[in-house]
Amino acid sequence: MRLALTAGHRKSLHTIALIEGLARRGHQVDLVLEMPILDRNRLRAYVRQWGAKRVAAKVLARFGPRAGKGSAGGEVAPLLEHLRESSIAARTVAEAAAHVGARHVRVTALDGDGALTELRRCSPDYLVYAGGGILRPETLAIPRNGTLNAHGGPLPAFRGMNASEWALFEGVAPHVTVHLIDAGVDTGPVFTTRPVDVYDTDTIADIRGRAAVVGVETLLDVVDLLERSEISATPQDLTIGRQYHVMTEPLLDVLQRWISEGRTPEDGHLDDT
Amino acid sequence: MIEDLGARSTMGDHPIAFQQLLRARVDTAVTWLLRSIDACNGRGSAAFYSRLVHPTNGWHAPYPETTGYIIPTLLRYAHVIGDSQVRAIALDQARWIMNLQAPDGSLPGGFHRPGGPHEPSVFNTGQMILGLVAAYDETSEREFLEAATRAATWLADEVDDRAGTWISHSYVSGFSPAYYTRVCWPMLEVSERTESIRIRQAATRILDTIASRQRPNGVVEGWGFRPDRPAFTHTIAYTIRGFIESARILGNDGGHLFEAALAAAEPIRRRFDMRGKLAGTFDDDLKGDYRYVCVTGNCQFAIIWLALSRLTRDPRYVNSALRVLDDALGSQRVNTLDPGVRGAIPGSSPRWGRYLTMRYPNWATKFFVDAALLADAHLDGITEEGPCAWR
Repeated sequence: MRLALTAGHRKSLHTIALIEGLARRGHQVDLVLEMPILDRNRLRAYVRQWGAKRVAAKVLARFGPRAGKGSAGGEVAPLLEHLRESSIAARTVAEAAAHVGARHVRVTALDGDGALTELRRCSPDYLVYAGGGILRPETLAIPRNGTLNAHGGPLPAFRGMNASEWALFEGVAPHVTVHLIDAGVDTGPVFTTRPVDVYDTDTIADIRGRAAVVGVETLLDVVDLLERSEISATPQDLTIGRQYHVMTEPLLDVLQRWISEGRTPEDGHLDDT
Repeated sequence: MIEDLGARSTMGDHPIAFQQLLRARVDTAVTWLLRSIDACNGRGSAAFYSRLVHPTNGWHAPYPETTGYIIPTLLRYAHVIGDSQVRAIALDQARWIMNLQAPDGSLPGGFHRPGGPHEPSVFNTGQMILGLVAAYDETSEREFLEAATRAATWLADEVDDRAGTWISHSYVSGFSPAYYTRVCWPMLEVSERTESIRIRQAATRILDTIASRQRPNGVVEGWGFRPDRPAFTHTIAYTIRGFIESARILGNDGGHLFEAALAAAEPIRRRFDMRGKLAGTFDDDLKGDYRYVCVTGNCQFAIIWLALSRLTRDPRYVNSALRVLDDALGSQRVNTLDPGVRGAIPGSSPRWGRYLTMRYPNWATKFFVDAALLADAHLDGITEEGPCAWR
């Protein structure tokens, strides 16, 4: 099975974990397309979604002098621990790609000419989406069997942004869903859904970080099952569920208070009625 | 009235950071509103502050219409804070409005010029009724309700039978805007207190006429100031709020009005979420002008979305409301020595935007205070209820 991956930036931890994890499970990673974090169009989209203040804070938390520390550190810590436990030494996407013998290409847009040419040349069975912005139909049409994504919330109930947070906000246990990407927002057929643990000592960043690890592990398992033709995707019932946008700071504060007070759904209980 | 949207009347004891900010900013905004009343010697609130229009002292003449609907704002704030002085000032404004009433029950349009002619206005009469009803609810003094009833009866008398709405005494001659829903709402407030079937029937007839003008995309034809121009979010929000409040009062008989409000508010919320910014105006195809923000409309939409979050049990409306309110907070000037600007909300952001260019209208600050008090109360309620309340 031929695989290609995307990466949202050069130090994307979950892309590194996916590249190394796939190789260790015996899968051939042929191509990695890496987007620059400071791409103008992506930054503009982020500012629209989050507002300028939050974008600046996120960039500083990830890449500033105190990167990985403070409250934002919670989001990165579970993935760093996963990399450490898995003895993955690569610190950049390029290093991971080189380590597994995959072609690594920096592109300016996943739907740009450069990315499309590389993807067509690779002709993957699956493209594994691990960040980099919106995928257009031209890109989605290239992989023979589709594009895989780990969505940070239970589908079909919670589509869009901050899905774990929204699920918790509505009293539903957070889950990661691995699905095929189609032209809609998180509307493609679903392979599987897995719960994310929540503890009352958690920050929201802790839960996001834990969800990222669950996402990596679930994607790896789905690729294993696809290789053995032991899994198929089920179309979503699009008459249920909602599309969510970035949760505002005040609601995140309320959610954090609930979590600290233990007012969350029981682990593993998924109520998507 | 705003309390009926689900707000609590007191502030919670454990506010989150955003609530603390809101409370501080509301205090500053109310202080500005009181200053706008002081500028008119306690008889009405100055329509706006602008050094461009009035280089000497900045304050415009009092505006009876908006003074009317500032009354419930001040009364609500007085309750939340426990400030009897603010309450007394609010009631003084209601008495001032009663003095402006013509023998036929109508109330005047335009700015107040002592000794000027009385030009009755349908819309402005409706807005002043809101103040009179709030004063009656606060004091139980019959004179306020009697004045409101005379005004509502005049409105019922003025309905054009053939058109099923008002044609005369309008802002633009011969044009009957959709935001007259916001006149029907105060009429229904009066009918609820007086059990006047005639006033209720007149209001529901007009509401049905306006609802029938709704297009499949949610737009209600004529919801702007003028029929041939894109509508400011200010008048769009007037229209939607009129539907929501009327539906609330009519109960089972108002379901279709609630649906109309939802059909109009939802596509605008979706556009706001996608763009991260609310356009200053929308045309009839919902194409927005994003060069500036009508801050007044932003505050009004915060109120609408907060109300819909309760009615639909959809937290996305709270999220959008808080975000649009946060944008309004960003346009409030708090670090300036000019007391005519400190605490005020501009008509547009940037201030040279097309809505009330370079002016600080009293109604922008009024709707900001309403929205902030409502958001504060909602956040208290949400925090207390816990996560499962949404499902």
